[in-house]
Amino acid sequence: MNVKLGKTTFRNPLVLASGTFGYGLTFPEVIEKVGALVTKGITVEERIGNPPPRIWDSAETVVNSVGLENVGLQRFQTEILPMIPTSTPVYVNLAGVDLGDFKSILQPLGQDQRIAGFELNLSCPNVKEGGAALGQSSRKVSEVTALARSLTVKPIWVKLTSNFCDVREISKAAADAGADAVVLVNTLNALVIDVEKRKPFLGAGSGGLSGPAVKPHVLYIVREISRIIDIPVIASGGVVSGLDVFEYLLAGARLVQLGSINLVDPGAALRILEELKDLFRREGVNSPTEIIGRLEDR
Amino acid sequence: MIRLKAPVLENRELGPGLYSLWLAIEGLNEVQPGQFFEFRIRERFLRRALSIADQKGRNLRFVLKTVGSGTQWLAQVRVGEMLDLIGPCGQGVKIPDQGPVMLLGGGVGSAPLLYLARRLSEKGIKNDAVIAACTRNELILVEEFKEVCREVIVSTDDGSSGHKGLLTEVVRTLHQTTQAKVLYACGPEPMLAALKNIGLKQPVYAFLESRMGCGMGLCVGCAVKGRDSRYHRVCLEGPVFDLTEIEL
Repeated sequence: MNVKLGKTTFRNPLVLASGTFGYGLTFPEVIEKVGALVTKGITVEERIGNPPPRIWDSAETVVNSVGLENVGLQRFQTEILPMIPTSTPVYVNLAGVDLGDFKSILQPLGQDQRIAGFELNLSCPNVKEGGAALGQSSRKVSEVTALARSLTVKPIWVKLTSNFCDVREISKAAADAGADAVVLVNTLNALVIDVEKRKPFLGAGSGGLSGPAVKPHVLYIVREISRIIDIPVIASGGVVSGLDVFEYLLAGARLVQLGSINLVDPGAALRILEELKDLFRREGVNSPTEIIGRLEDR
Repeated sequence: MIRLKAPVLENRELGPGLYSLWLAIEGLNEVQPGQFFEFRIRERFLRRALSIADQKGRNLRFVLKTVGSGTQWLAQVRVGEMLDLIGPCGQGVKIPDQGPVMLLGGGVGSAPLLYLARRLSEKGIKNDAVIAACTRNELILVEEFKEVCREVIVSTDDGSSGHKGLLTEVVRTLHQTTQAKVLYACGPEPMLAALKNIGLKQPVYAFLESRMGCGMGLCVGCAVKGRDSRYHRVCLEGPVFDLTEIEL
């Protein structure tokens, strides 16, 4: 099940997505079996997050407006990092408003041996400043990625948005500025309405959509982008089964993130991994590399 | 906390939109009042949290109120059907060493207090309960509370059974309230907010309900604002909070 991304070999293509597994301090029996884990997003200062309600769901969607609640850089360094799992590569998700924020975080963390790499969160739809506002501009994506590149030799994944922007342009910008991979995509802009109150349901007014319903949209983006950039694509969008992972590999993803499904069952990754192995056996596939991007034309 | 499959032993309607489920839980470890299980349901992507309402051996009781398609699906499960659960989740109540204890239940919020009442009575701690609802047929578990409480006081907003008036108004007039060393309350948010403002001298612990993502502290979806202006996770730090420590 090994997959190589740059110089790094992952034990399998499954990655626990940011914001759905905390800082990786619980469920070690799951973490040790996946390819990698991405922490909850870290910002320079602690953030208390958005007012509740923060979450809503339908049969195939989750809409959240957590708003990057996190302990901040200092407590992350003193309280979290010493406890971070060593059984699996940990990628730290970083969020910020401007270049200065990313510099403030990457200067102390950039060479830390406990961290396998970084995921730049240029796509959070739930914060007023930074987040998606950075990721929608290919110039800003380029600037932040280049800055990060100058501050660490570790792998840099850039997590992008498909909200109100041309994903092709921002993906190319990340690739050209030295990213090791792009992560496609963060949650989609979403509005839930409380009809009785004539107001948005979520405390923040809007949120980010995830869950199985977004998969066809993200599959399309993964296929399109993996054909036009020369760095790997990591898929993130509505995976609930081994079959979904197989589809993303065919579409061109090298790694596949699991997000919302972790909230339904924290052991989902173990089931999905078994399903993927079964599917490989049935399809006569020996390694993920054999099928990555092998989707044929109609 | 484990994921398990549990058969439904009984599903009984208690009132309009109110259902009581008994499930058999194999390999059940000790559970505490206030703890809850996360139920996989067919109509919604995320699980739904239900508090433990009672226990007999390895069987657990849950009470639910239908509010949407998810709880409606759960209300229609049949005897023998297997449900997919994760639990027990959350911090349970630390059973106090001495009483008397006062329990204040509003609507379906009475349910988790029944299990607390049972544990208190097993420990020989006196407890009184106020069971309140908007109207008579929404009162639940009154007979069960009578088995384990020293006194059960019923109140309805419309006066169709017991005292007439809001629970908080009734509580102020009762001599049991002044005697109580500690109070536990569970009910709609306006009831808990009102309780905060009636000047009770004793500690009051509130069992909170919240929209939850995971129920395990992973997603930070179920936030309640604390006195320290930080958000706390209802699922992990809660669901039982000192009423003075939270903003409602």
